[in-house]
Amino acid sequence: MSENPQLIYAVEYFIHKANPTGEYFNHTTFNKLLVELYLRLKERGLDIKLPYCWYKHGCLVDSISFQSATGISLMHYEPPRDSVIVMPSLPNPHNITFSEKTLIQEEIKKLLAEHPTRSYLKSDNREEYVNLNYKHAPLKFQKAFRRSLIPHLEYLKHLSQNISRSERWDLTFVSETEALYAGDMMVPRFSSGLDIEDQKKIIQQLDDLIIDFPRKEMRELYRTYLRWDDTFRLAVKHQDNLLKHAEDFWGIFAFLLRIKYNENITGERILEWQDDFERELSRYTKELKETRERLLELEAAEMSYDANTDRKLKKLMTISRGMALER
Amino acid sequence: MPYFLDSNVFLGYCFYNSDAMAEASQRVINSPEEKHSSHTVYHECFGNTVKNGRFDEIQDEISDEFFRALDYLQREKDIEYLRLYAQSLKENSDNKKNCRICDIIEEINSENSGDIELIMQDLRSLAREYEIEYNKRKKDVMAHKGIDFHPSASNDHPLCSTLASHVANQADVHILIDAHEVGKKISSLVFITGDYDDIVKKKDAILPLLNISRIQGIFSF
Repeated sequence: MSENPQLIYAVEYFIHKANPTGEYFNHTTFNKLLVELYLRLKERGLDIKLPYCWYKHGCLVDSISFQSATGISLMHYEPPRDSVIVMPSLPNPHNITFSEKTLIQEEIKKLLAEHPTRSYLKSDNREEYVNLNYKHAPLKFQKAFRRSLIPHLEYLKHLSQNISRSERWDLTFVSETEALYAGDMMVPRFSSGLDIEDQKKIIQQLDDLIIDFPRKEMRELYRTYLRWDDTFRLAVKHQDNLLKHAEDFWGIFAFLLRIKYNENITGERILEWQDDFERELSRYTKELKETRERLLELEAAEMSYDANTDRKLKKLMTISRGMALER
Repeated sequence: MPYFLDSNVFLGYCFYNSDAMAEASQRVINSPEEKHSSHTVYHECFGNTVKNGRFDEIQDEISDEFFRALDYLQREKDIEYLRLYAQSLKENSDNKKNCRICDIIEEINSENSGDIELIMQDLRSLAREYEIEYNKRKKDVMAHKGIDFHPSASNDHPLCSTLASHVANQADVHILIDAHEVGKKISSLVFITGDYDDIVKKKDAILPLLNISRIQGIFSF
């Protein structure tokens, strides 16, 4: 077990300065700010070797690697289901130079001064601090997916759940026949969630995402991603659980993201994450296949084959059969 | 007479292309006769909870080719890039990603006079239609055609070595033994296969060893 006095000092001085009055300090914001502090210190030439990775919601300090680097459990600072601890007195560092100490203090004061109302102590401000991390996001795709597509889908879901009952019914006639029977009364028709413009906007986001997908960096997911992309286009057409499908893909992407984009994580931890990724990928692949089969059944109901398509299909079947006989 | 179906009967049915084998497979699978097969055949074709079957793998590979082509077109908006990519795959015969749908892409390209958006639309539709057709036929075989898939015989069945001296392919040996075990319970079982070289041509040597009444090539249906 090694010790990293610069890291311990930075964490403790940060907690001391960030929350002097002992208010509730949530783990999310604490994590995001620590990573921000680490990156700023590194830019100024001091590497405190904070072990962190990119994951589902921005950056996360890894507790196992933290303990391995400092000999202190991260839970000591952020007890489970409780506020980050309060540190009324200044830490008393050893094995750390005066200039290192000064630099850490300066950067912490500067970082906290950017939030003069101590907005980081407000639990509903978490997203703002996730955004802080995203300024350093290594992949354009990651930003576009997590900070653009998912919020857009969340917004659309929120809209469909929160508009009033009267607004959810279009005051339009379902058909001329129904209008005839209804006489002077307006016939309400349930408005299906997404209109054409919403659908076009999502498809445009998908078209942009496919250009940004990091084919080399995330090659283990390239095949799954392309399959997800077409499945998601079907889901848009059939208005099927869009947010869930996007979040599920983001989940598996994040499993790989933490393996590829991290700093100061122990080798053992990375191996553990690789096992997690393989297990999750196999589970997700099956789930995606089931979703795809279900959506294709919906699609089939709307498809009609012409002779030209039928001929091409048979050509594909012949190719497939040839492949089977070769094996 | 009850039938025992070898894997290539399912192959002809699932990847139906209207040729003689496809039509014969369809006739067998749609026939009102009692139909049997085994878990060995089922797993080889359709996989199990751990591993994809051969057919699913192939369908996935073809679908992947469509998706990769769409990816290229979306990025480059130029059919020439896709041609170059496809060509590079074709030239490298060891490459698993060998482009098998190149001719179809060319056909769709000329039908749409090079309009990328239309080409992409047609490619996407065709990819989905292919998958829908395969899924429908696979589901048919698995659930709607009344085929009884029996547990596989043990791998160290006493007939293994004797049959192996006639039949080169180990998987074929296992399927024949599965049929032999089913034949103990179901009388007059007819083994139906599309494997002429390894099984049909050797039926005179194989048949006396097995508890089945006949070996019949698929084309005689």
